[in-house]
Amino acid sequence: MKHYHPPNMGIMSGVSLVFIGTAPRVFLHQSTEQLSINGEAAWLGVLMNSLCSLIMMLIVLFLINKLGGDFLSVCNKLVGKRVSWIIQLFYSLIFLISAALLLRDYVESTKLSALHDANYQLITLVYGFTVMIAAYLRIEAIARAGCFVLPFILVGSILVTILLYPFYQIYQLLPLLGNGFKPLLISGFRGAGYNLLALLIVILAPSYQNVRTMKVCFLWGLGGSAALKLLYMLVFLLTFGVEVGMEKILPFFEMARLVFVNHYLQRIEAPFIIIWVMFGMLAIALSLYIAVYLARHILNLTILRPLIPLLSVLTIAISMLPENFDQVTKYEGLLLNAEAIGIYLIPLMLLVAYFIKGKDEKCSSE
Amino acid sequence: MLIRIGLVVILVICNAFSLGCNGSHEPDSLVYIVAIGFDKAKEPGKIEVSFQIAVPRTGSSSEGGGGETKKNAIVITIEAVTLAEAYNLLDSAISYTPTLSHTKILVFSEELAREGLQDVMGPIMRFRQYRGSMHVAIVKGTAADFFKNNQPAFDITLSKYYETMLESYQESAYYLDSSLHTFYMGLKSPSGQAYATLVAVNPTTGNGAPADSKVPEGKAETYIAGDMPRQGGNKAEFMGTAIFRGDKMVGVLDNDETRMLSMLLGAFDKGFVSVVDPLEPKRSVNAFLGLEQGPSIKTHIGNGIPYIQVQIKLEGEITAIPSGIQYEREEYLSLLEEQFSQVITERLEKMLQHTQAVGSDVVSFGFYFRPYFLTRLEFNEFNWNDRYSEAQIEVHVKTNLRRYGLMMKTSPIQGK
Repeated sequence: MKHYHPPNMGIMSGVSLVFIGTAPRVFLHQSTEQLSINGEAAWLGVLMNSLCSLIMMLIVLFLINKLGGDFLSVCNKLVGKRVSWIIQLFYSLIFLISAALLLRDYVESTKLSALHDANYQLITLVYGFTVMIAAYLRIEAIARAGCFVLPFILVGSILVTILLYPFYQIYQLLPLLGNGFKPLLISGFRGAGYNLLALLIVILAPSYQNVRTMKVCFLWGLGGSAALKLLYMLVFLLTFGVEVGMEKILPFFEMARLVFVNHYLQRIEAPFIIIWVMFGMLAIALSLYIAVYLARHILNLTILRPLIPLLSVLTIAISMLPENFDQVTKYEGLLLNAEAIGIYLIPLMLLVAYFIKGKDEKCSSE
Repeated sequence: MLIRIGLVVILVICNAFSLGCNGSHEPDSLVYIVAIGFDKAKEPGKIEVSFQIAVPRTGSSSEGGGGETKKNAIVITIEAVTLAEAYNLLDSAISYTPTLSHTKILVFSEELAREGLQDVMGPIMRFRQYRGSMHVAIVKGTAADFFKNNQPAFDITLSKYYETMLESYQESAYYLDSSLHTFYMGLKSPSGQAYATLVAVNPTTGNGAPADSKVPEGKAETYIAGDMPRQGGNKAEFMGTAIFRGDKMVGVLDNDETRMLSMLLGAFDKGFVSVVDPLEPKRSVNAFLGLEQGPSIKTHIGNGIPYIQVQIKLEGEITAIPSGIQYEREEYLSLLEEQFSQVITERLEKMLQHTQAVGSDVVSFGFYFRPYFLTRLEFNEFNWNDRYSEAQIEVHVKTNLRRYGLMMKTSPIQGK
């Protein structure tokens, strides 16, 4: 039986994976939540959490540079196999639940925007199977599909930004601190959890040539996703302001459907729905794939693929658990707290362990 | 290989289900509601909703081959508790499936608007078939009457009529285009208030009723929708602006005040302006003016009082000098420019006094006070919408007449 071995991947694949993994919620209600918490300063919150996540990723990269191997082997070396096993389980569960809630979000969003007459279970099943197939085709397929989707996302975003120009009111970005410094600080740090999936680069470290390659993937992937989030947040604020913006459940959909240039250039939201669903499916597949990858490690299995259908069914089942959309957002809030632990606490704990064990000393696996 | 084929089959099935075919409708199974009107019903707690529906396959109000007038729309009025209920009831009155996806305009009766639009606006913003690019208008009288009397004089579809009518406001700025997006933003904003286009049915008897906002040096009479002295044409008329405080309509701006509002909003593209000839007061002078640049609005707060300084720069060309005085010459030109500046300043001040009297900041001056506050809470405590009436507003207008039409100078008519 062939042992699973992470494939070799290039910088573009890495960048697209980080981008896909960290930006999908920008098409959902993430901007609205940021707006509710930070008011006019929501864009500063986005900037803060992107910077925080980049710093944390660079810390993890520093550890990999010093100790070699991938994130999992670094955990083994610094905190021992048992704690490392718990850490892997923690991340695996987070990525699985994140995939499930993201699936539910996309199902709800497409039901609200495009497939309003379709049966909710049917959409979930169709999306679930699509995700399963994407994950089954493995990470290279997801990365390459991501490379195809990215230009459409970028061009579409720039197009909407330009076409909404007549609605901009620059003073809607003021007062500068929005709801105040305290919520900005808290949400700025906490929101870094949205970028937890960027860790996939160090989880799949053997796929990349060296630490420099991974660093480039982080910088461009996280930088690109931060730029996209920032752009959407600014355009959303300039167009809708805080009072109306807080009401919107699908900010990007609302922005796209507001475009009215003339009789012939209006109602442009339909192509965007297709693009963002494709993007969302890839993000869910990626989250699921990393959850499966970690599960393989935890269970010490030699192969990965048979786990994919199992965990896909589990993802679909979890996604159907929340009774309504309010519950979904509540669970997502809880998940974000766990993701914040994943992005801050564990890397910092590893960093402390590294300094305690001695920088120059080669850490053992026990 | 078998697995791959299986995957391809599943993907194809997934594609088929995730396309929009789910819940699709054939275009000829739908009827398109072009406009929706809201009137107060006789029974308390109810509204009368009028749907102006495009008639499939005709789309023309011109005479048909058999001498029969083709209708391009029908109007159905339903009394119901809510808009959603009226929409449901409409389905029982027509064989096609009604859709709002191409609705162009929402028309509220003045009576309803003065009582408040909160209850009506709620479902509109939540339902996916509405979009921000729809237009909002307030009608003098009832919306049902307005729809019945709205017979476009030219061979044009109703949707195109509403679209072109509201997009062509820039030709005169005697009415403004208020989209559902801007209207709703105005309702919710702590930095200003909402406004909407004013429409009405004109009896077309030729007897008008001028509004009373004319300034001494201004030559033209001012009107609001329905009061313009005219005969012939479509009875539907767009003129003036309905202004709001919160969700309640509190007043009306006539065509001239509306033009002043458009200047302050930076939306005044061009329009003819007539003033008294400064050297021969019995005659008038016309110019075709537009904004040279967006308005400059500066604010400050002194001793708790908000101060606003507005600078408007206009430019344009002289279009008529009936007196024959050579205003094209430099020594006279500044006199004429000063006359235009003075008239526009007075009109602007009059309009602002009007809006301050009813406490409706339709210009959204509140936005310009935002830089003085660090947090949202501080700005909300400033309570701009309630303080607008006490603001001290200073207006400066500078007019530059750069061109004189196709004439270098006016030669006198011989024998006069």
